[in-house]
Amino acid sequence: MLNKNFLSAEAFIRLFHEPLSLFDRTACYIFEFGTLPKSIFVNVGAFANRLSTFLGSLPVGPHYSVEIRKAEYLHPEYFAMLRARNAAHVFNAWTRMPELWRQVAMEEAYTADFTVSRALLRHGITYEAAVTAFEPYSRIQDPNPAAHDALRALIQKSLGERRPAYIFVNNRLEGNAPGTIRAVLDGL
Amino acid sequence: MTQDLANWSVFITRVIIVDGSALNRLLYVRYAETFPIVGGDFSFYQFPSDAFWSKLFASALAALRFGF
Repeated sequence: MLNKNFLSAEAFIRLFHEPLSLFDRTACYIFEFGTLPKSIFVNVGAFANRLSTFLGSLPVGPHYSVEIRKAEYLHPEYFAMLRARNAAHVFNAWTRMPELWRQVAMEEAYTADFTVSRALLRHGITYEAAVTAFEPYSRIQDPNPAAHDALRALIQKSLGERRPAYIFVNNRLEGNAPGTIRAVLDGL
Repeated sequence: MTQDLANWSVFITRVIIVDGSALNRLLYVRYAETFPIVGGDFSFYQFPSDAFWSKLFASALAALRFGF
């Protein structure tokens, strides 16, 4: 079924931007896209074009970012479009995305004057498997030092460039998000 | 405290916002004292109402920012 609000700037402005503007509590917006089938976007160029139109129609000011879950979209065309709109690529740790450290190593992935990262899941591990393995999230059960290093690299780069960084860590990455954050910070 | 915060992050959308019990409010405050920002990835399941936003922000310290 077609979602008439998909990539609708009008819907975003009316349903999110306008009401949230009253509160001044929003750090950034993250537009998350699942594993989009070719029936929606035939290739990354089609996705980038549509997304560019959407981002270009949004109010100037907020920090907009884009989280993709399709590895083949990590493409120069996608990054160039984001850079043109000063929208951030979300460095994401997720089941079927290249590991965080691989994305962090991509120079062209730094597309905005701020950084956004979501450390959600270890590569190859599904959400359901992580929930089963880690609940009730009382401790780190699957240490992921490579993810720690990648997050530290993002933090250090942002500090060095004096740019804001929004780093989100999920319990499903290692089993306990506060523990992950502590481990990352302890190694800085 | 680490366990409290982990629990908080699990239940943020299901309990804290909806219920707003004293215990959950306490966890919410403690979270905000530790972290400057929280991910609100619940926002794409449905379009939140104005009342939802008001309740959400009123239940957290003013300094806490959200990523939606």
